[in-house]
Amino acid sequence: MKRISVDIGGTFTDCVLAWEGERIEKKSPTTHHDLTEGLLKVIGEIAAELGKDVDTVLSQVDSVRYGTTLGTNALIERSGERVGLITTEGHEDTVEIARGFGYGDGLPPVKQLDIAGATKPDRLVPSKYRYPLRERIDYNGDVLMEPDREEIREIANDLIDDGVRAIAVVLLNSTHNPEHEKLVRDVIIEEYPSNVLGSTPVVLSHQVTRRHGEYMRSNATIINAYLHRTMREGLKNMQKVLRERGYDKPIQLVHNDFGMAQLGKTFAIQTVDAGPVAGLGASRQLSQELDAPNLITADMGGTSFDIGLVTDGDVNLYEYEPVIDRLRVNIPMVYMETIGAGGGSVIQYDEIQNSIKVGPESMGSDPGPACYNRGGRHATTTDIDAVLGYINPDYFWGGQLELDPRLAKRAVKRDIADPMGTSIDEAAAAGREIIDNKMAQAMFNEVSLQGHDPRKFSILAYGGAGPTHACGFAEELGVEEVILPPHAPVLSAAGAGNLDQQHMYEQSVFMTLYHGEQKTYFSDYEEFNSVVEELKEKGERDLVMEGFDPSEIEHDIEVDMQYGNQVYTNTATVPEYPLEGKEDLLQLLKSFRDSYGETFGDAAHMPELGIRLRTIRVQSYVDRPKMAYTQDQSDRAVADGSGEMSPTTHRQCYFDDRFQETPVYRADTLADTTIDGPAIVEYPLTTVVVDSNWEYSHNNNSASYLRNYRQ
Amino acid sequence: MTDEHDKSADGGRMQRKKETDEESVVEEMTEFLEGRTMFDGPDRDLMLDHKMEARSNREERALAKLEDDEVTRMVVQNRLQSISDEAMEMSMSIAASPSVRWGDLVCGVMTREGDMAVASSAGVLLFLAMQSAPIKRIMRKWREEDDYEINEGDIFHHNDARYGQIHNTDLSTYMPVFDDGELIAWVCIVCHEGEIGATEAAGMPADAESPYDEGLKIQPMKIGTDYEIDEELVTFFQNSVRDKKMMKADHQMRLAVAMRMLERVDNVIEEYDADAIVGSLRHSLETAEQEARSRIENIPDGTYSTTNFVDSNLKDDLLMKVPCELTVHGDEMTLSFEGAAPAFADRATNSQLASLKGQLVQTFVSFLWPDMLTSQAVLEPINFEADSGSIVDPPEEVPNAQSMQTFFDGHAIVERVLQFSTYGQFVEGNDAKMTDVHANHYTNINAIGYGGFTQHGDQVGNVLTDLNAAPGGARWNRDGLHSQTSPALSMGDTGEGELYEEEYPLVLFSRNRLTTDIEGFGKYRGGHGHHQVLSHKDTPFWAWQMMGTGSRFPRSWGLFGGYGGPVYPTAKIQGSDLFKDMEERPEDLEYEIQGIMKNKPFDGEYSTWDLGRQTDIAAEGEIFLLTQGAGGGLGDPLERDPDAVADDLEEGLITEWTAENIYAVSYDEETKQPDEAETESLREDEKKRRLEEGVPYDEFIDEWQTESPPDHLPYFGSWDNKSEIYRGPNMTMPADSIQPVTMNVFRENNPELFDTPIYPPSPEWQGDVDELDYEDVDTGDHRDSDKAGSD
Repeated sequence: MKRISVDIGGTFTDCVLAWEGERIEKKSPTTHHDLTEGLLKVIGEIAAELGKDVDTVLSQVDSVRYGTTLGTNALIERSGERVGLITTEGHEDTVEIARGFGYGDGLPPVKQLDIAGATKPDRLVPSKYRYPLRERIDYNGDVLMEPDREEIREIANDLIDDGVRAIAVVLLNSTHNPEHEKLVRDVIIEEYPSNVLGSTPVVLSHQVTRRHGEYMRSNATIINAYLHRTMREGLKNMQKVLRERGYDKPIQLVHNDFGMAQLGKTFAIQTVDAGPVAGLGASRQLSQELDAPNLITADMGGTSFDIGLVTDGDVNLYEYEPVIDRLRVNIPMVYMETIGAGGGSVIQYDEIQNSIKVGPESMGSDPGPACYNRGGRHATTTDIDAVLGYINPDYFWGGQLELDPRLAKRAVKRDIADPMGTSIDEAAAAGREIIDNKMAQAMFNEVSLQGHDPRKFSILAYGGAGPTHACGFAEELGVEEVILPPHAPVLSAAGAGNLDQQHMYEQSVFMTLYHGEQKTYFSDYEEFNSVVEELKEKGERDLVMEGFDPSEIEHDIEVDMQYGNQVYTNTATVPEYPLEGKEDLLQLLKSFRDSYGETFGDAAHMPELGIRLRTIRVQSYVDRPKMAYTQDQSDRAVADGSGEMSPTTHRQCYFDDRFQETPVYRADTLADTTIDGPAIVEYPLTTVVVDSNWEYSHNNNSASYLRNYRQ
Repeated sequence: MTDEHDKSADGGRMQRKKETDEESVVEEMTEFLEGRTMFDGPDRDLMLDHKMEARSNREERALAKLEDDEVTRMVVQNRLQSISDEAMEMSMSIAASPSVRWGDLVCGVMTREGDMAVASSAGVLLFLAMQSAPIKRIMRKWREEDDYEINEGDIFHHNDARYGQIHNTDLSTYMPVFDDGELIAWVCIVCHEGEIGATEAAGMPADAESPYDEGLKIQPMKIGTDYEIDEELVTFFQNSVRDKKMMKADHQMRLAVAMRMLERVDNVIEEYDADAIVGSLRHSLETAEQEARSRIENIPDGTYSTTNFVDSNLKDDLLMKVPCELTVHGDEMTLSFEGAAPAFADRATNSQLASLKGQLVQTFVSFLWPDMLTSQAVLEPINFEADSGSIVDPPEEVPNAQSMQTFFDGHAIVERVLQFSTYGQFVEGNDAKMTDVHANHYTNINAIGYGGFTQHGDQVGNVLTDLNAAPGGARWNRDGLHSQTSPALSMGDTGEGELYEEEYPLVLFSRNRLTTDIEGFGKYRGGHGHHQVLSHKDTPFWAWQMMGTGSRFPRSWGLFGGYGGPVYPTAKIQGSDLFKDMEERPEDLEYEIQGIMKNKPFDGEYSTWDLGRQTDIAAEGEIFLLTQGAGGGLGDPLERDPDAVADDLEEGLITEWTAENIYAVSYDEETKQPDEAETESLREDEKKRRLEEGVPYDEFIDEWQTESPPDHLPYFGSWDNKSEIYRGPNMTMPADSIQPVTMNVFRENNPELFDTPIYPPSPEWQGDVDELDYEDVDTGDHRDSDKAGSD
């Protein structure tokens, strides 16, 4: 297997090469003006380590897998295309009204409470580019009012006259009857054939999602139209550059639903925040390789702390109504909770709350933390770690960036110590405790909301800053074991290398599976089965078009169900398919009951209200060969050959409420061994802080462990 | 001696026996006669007391323990916040009530004595602020009554507003938190449920003429033990309402949520200890109080006053005065509502003072100090004054299902008077740490209620959640937001129209559309609300109810020269068939309320109505119309950037008439771009006209001031003397002995004062818009001007 996987983040471009049995990982600063430049640089470094040139590597790899931020960035910067929205008349301000709560969706609680001071997100489609169409379909899919082709033609002319470069079509209840949306597309193409319309896409909402909810579906459709050209042109350029250097296959784009597909089969919205999701994918595989079925994943990068869950060796937690850049959509994404607590997060004293506050503001990499000496003036997590002696100023990022601890101290003094009226050391120690608390609390909420006890999990800590804080947040959470996986600083890129080719399709339905008052059961199994078959066909068609043999394709079926008329639904797997009798149905109802009870507790069951099925979802995928993350390193010798673990050096680090002389180890000198804390273990791209009462061990499977021996 | 003593002793014994007998008889008979209570009714003292309990010895010890462990205190406090937020999210996920699903609830943790210490970040804070009284009542019974028990796993519940809710459709569940046998706190969830067995199905009966029309009334009581609800009681509750499914489901939902909160709190106790909970709760309260005091201290001492009016009690058009006088002295504030209208014995707009206070927690947090801890202690430095018997402090035996029509008015005036009092500080460094100075948020819930059977056969009653998107007022440096959230809650959600249509027999013909020209004009304009033009189908029975005020007197005020939001009616097209017209002549249809009412594209009888409109059984295809108001404007409209006016014109927010006549902007007919020179000239002309038409203040006062209310006006409240309360234009009563007004009798005695119908509406009361001249722009009520007594 020869494979390149890339994750281009806000701070670094991470790259992992799998070359037969060899694994090489590199980081390089992201070049925002031209992402390809940073990508080629990091590939060049990898190729050099392999002893080959870039062209040789690129011409021989079987795929380049890319977790792109093109769409994410264009959305944040509002640099996408001018979108025209055609929507059912009487509902043209849906995205403006944003269900009322749009002013605060995706913001922290204090912003949501500030009704008088609120600001809505910048609009992707201003009012003048929303075009009402006179038509109507009801909840059953029955037509109440036919659209007029002439009116559609007039709208098409207006769109072109107004300079619209992408068209989103969202008609009410099109998820149940898409004919009107299709007619709009046909008339537009009839009026402006593709050679005239050029690359102006016409995005139909029912093709983006078959789930109900006109506000969320509008956002999803608009975002796709808005990012279409950016994605297409950005990737065309990257594809062109890579082709010139020898890579002649399509780039595979990482999706935020754990899948991966070629550009032509990718909606732009599927790439938003795909990088961290790929990291979670790697975690899922690692859980199997390391025989650690229950993991809380903790990805602490430069600006954020991403939390995910692996339970029983799998990740089955999709978010079906995620918020993307303050806009709620109904496109499934792998659920990850993100809080603003990374290495660059600003730490300050909040006089109102009488407490130290962490983030969400971040200094990023430019200017970065104060100790970067690039003009950053605010104290950050990294500055606190530097003040406490954990980070080696001469070995940060493998020695490529020299830190200035004096600047870190100055920032901590001004932002925290002076307002608190305490010393720099105490302020930094308190700051670290609060950071770790905040992360632990976020993890606790995430885990416990799913009904799990965090103490029964291990933490998989990765990202550049994850291993530095792992003992702190694990202890706070009552978790006894932290796993530091191979590729920890670049795990998201590594994860991109192992995703399957996948497509997910959904359909809103309204099926009463059990009638609570009448105590009767659903019996039209064919109705259920036919929807599943239709969704399977769609996924299969996509994969066949991408070159896969139908025999390779597998399908997973899920459903969203609810008691009575709850608006939110609980996801359950379908144990028996096709449904052929009452027993199969009861298996499905049991699956829902168990899933619901696990989430909300047994006290929350209400079968007497009836049970309804609201969404059917099929994931179609091809299981691709995976590269193993772990490698047998039993032949690795201790550097000095003596078998004894000797610290590389000692330095003053803050443990147990005081600075103390602490042994410091270089990771590449360690083999199968155990080190008691307090200690520091330095990797080129991260630093492991081993607290008192914790032990660090490096196993022969290339993973490292932190274990609390006090608990 | 002995004998004597004995005798004497005998005599004494007899005497003592007699006395003892008498004592025991007294005791026995007193107990027999007085030991029972005829009615364990609401406790007025508890309801009026919004102050938190004094720090107990237990809390003292817990705080002392946390003093040296600030981190634990912070962690536990944050954990309690997370617990409340998680509970809110869980409730919305599994609730049956549409209102709850879309944000009309709150969860929180309260102290052992019932003070609301930590509330969920989003939701209706006022709900939780109302829960002090019921918990304090339970605690008092526990202390005073030997056989009254509070045990681990007990489930308490209530909904009767007179014991601590804003109306009966809000249902609470609370459970005690125990640690090793010691009661240390309470967890609580309060939800707006909807159908409650009231005289109207939507749960907030505007038609209620007594508390006995308002549906189920449960005092704070134990409804379950050992974590299980008494099913007999649930059946009783279900028997009392129409929507039995929702009653059952949401009792179960609230229990599950309370149990989840208990589980989480138990985890915290296990990880730390009970002191950490007790101390953190107390710390939250005391920190909030201290912070509120320090912010009030930054507001200049003085008295600031303003007056508002509610123009309807949802059955009668009238003017109810709700004045507010705000006095700042040091770190305390007094809010006086003295001089307000009297309570109404047979109308539902009476508001408990506690409800008004509860809303003001939301006012202070979401409209003044959003970074404050969400706790009732925000009100600790604030004193309240109101006339007993007034509409903001009514007696028990009056209905209050529509209390928000009145206490939102209280919110509006406090929101407004706070802008006056803090503006100076805001521009000079903002030491009072307030959010943006702003004109009034649209201060009402314009609700469409419904009741009937769905296409799935369920019997339902509730309100559409469009009321959760009231528009915001203009800010000191920018426009207000369109369709934002209800003044009663942050993050209010209107829900998805497609989901509504799937679950209920509705067709939302024109819903997600901002209403043209309904705007608080100003240098910075207020936000626009959206409108609803809707009908129904596929149901054997369906009825609508409208609830709101502001058809004559605005519900949002302008600030510093900005206009208030306009007034407007609701409308109906009787006998219309939306679906027939959609099918047969779609090209003729209109989607904007103004256009519909002007051009009458649908067949049917067009009429406009006050926003308060009782249940109206509707035929399939009949069309009802409502709009969601506008936020107030800020600053003189003549100072509005002409480009911003042009943008609003292009976006259809305003008409050309408004651009020209309100904003005095001249623009190119074709490009709609403003002509700067011509605009300047128009604005100068307008300023001159103002000067010409203006009169000196004294002259204005002489012309407009009268000694008593005008004879034709159904006026209620003080006029220029707070101690004298008018009940109608010609009768007064002393403010210290206000008697509720029985409106049915009042109307009979004063028919000339009213032009509005009493339910069921009779055709002669329906305005005919045919007779209106829509060429004249009129932001007022469009009722037929020919009808006797109309304004």
